Amino acid sequence: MGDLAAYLELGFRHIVAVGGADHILFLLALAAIYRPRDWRAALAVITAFTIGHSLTLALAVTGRLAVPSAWVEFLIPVTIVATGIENLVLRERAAAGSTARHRPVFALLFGLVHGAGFAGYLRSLLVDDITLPLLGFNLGVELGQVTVLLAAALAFVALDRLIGRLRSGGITRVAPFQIRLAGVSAAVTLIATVWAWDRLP
Amino acid sequence: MITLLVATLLIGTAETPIARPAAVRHEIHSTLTVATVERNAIELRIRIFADDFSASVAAFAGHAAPSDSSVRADEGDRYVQQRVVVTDAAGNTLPLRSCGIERVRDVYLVCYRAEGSGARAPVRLSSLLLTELHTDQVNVVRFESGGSRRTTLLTKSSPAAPIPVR
Repeated sequence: MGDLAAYLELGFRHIVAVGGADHILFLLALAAIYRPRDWRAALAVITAFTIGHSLTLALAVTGRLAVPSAWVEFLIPVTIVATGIENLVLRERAAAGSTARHRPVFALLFGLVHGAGFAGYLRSLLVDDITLPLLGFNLGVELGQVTVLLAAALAFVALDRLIGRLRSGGITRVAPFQIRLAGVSAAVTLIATVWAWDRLP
Repeated sequence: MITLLVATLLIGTAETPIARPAAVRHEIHSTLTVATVERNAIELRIRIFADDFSASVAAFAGHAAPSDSSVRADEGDRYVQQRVVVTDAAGNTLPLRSCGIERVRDVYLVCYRAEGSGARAPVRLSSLLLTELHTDQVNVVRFESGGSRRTTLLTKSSPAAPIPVR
């Protein structure tokens, strides 16, 4: 196996590992507001997030950017909280088919934070010939994210259908999408708030 | 209705174990070993995070980990000798000789040589460093032999990796 493939696998494992709950949680928060028909908007947000974290990952690993790791680790759950709260605030607009245009900008900024988080430990491991390992790791992170997002999209569709069936029993008139969005966003926000508190620098 | 649902969810999760999931920092649980294949020896240069190394060595030696993430050289040596194994074609374990241990900021640099092996004899390397500490531990091993390079990932369940010969 070459450096590229090895570090691609390392990046993929880093995202899908159980220990990677903070990144998975952020992706869930990011994706929760979209339905399959919103795939263009979702793609724009995910692309912005990818550009953001690729940028800081490259800058930090090459030593051009130094961010105190305590602040990065604190800010990661803060990005999750912010995304979750935004989901809750925008849930009615999202249900009407309109998602905020500023969302890709936030995703880009939040991506900068997550990239710095990826870089913290990678920088200590790599000493020479970092180009291929860095590229491979980043590609692996992307593949991991795509995997998580596809799984989340399937789970959300299934959840919407399940809530739709329960709703037909006359429990509520609120759209299944809104209930799912509120439930997922509230849970994610709560967990990330606890993490942010625990990681206060 | 949604407010009620969210409130119920918040109250419900607050009383369950998922309410306070550990705020574990998502570190990359990994080490890097550069294995240089020489004519009659293999040199292993291992980069390992000091906090993890210190915790594992202390647990192995049966005492609490030092607060400064330091490692006693003799204990570190015993730990590495137990977790890193080089075997020859017949499956015999080759002795590892320490060629230094040094701390550089948050990383320990550890060096070992397996004499009597190398480019002439097919050997295998297994590394279980820190796998007892992290379930997602991945040890990156880069083999360098006669100008060629190959990288492999070793986890807790990986078989020993064959070391390329020139």
